[in-house]
This record gives sequence, C-alpha cells and structure tokens, in this order.
Amino acid sequence: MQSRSVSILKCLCYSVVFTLGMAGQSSAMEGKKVTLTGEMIDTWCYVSQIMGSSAVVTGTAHHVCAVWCAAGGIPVGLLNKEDNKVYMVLSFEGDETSVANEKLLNLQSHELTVKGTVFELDGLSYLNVDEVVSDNGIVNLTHEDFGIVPGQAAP
Amino acid sequence: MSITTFGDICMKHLESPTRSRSTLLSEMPGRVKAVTILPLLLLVAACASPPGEIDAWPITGAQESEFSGTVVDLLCELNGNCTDNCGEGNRQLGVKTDSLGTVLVAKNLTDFSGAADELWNYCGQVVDVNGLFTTHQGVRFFQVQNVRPPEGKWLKATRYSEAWVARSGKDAGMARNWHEHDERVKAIIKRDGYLGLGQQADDEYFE
Repeated sequence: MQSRSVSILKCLCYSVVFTLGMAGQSSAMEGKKVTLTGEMIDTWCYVSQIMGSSAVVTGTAHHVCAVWCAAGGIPVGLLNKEDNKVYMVLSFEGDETSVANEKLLNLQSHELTVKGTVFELDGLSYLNVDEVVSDNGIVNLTHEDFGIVPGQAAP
Repeated sequence: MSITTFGDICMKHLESPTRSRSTLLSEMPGRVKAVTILPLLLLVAACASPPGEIDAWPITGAQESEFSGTVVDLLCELNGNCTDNCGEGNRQLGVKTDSLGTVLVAKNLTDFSGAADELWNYCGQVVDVNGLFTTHQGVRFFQVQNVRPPEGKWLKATRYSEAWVARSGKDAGMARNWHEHDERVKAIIKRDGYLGLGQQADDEYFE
C-alpha cells in the first residue's frame, strides 16, 4: 500500500515538473513546410518603395544596394514567384543569424529554390530556410530597363 | 521666401518649428522631387529633429506612429528558439504590443541599416518607440526613429553607426558612409561587380 502511494506521489511530481517545464518554454508556433522559388531581395526598399516602384529595386539594377542593406542588417526576403509574397528570412541552413548573415550577403539578387518552414505572424510571413535546393544566380536583369538604382550604387 | 533648393526647404522648415515635418515633402517643387534620392536622404539627415521627434522621409503613404511594447526576438517568438539577449544584434527583432500585434522593426535612421542594434539592449523590456509605418502589398514595415527605454529619455535610432565602427575597426569618420567602406561589401563588389554578373558584364555596361 505504501509503495502504491509512493508511486502515485512520484507520478504527480513528474506531472508537475513536466507542466512547469512546458510553461517555461516560449510559445512556439506551428510552421508550415514549404518549397519556394524566388529572388533574394532587399525588403526595405521593396516595401517602402523609397527608391521607386518595387520592380526597380530588384535584380541587377538594385544589386549593390541590396548588398548594402543586407550588410546593414535590414531583413533579407525571398520574393516568391508563385504568389509574389515576401518571406522574411530568419534563419538560413541552420544558421540563426538573420542580421548581416554572410551567406545571405553573398546571395542577394540570386534566384533560389529553397525548402524551409514558413510562419505567419500579424500579417507577415517569416521563413526558416532549411536547405537551398538550387541557386540559379542573378537572372533578373533589371538594369537593362532601369539603369542602376540608386545612382550612387554605380561605379 | 522662395523655395528653390533643398537647403532652402530645410532652413524654412527649421525656422518654423511648430509646423509638422511631414509638410516638408509636399513643399518641394516638382523639379526638386525629380532628382535622385541621395540628396533627399542627406537633407533628412541635415534636418534631423531633436530626439523624440519624427522626421519625414520620402516614402509615399508613410504613417507616423508611436507605441509601447516589449522588445522580442522574432525567431524566439515563432519557434521557441531563444537566446539570452535577443541574439545581441544578430537576430531580427520586433516590438510586441497589445494593439498592433508583433511589429517587425526593419529599419532605423542610419542609411542602409536595420534596427537590431537599436533594440537588442532592451531585450524583454517594455520600450516606447516612434517612427514610420510603410505598407506595400499587405506587408507592413516599421522604421524606428526614436527609442525611449524604461524610465529613460528618447534616443535617436542611430546606434548602428557606432556599432559598425566597433565591429569593423574602421575610423569613426567613415561611419556616415559606412556602406562605402565596409570590407564585406567591397569584397562582394570586387568579386561579382556592380551588376552582380561579373567583371566582364560591368565592363560592357559601364564603359
């Protein structure tokens, strides 16, 4: 009888410890596994349109500025071809640095296909990139139509 | 006084401190609006208001806003992957509010730089922030212009420059145009060219 009481007590204790442990965790959201294809962009210039329309601030026309902004820690985004939505990159192939991440700096303006997890929060889409499936390099030759934007990003 | 240059507009504006700074852009003649964005950004810097006040930026539809909330690490909020101090400037941050939800803070007041250095020192604390919201295709970004820490005074969101000098080891005089002196950026341009397509493409296009 005594041994049964001890077992029940142990069970209760484990339950309390487990519950408290869960409460101590941040409230993780359920993400959605996706495969996306699109250009890695400078999100600030794209959203604010401070230098012109969104088309002007993608591709080769805006390549140097996109590198500047990624180096400065502005969120890098993937502009998904299928839905034309911007996905803010929060981690990249296991690297949780999303501010001035070296890999992201070197991929600005590239068209990538990635596998990852998308989280939706208060109107924005965030992306953890698990794997780069393919890198097509820079294929959006916007300089042919728009020149270099901004002008100071030319040699 | 006739307005013909950016400097005139700036001076006229500064001489009328009671008028809203958002009127600055609307006062510009058409030919002034047509010039490149850089002089305008320099004008914004030259006309920078005292800490706590919001400056106008040349962003169509931008909305001034001031609110309070908790500084949060977005990766921590989303998937429970947290660090002790919001990544100490290495992670994208937001301000979690009751009324606006979690606001991604994407930009600060320094050219071409983000907001992590402006906020990570207040990780987990409730701060007041003000600045501009800009929205495009349903995506809403916030540019923080001033931060007021708990029981503190308003601070301009320009810490990035100081942090860049500390990280890069460069002279403080380079901070204003940090992007032109940043070794990471210089290495990428040297390797890939200004178009990102290689030196030959640059030579053909810029000749």
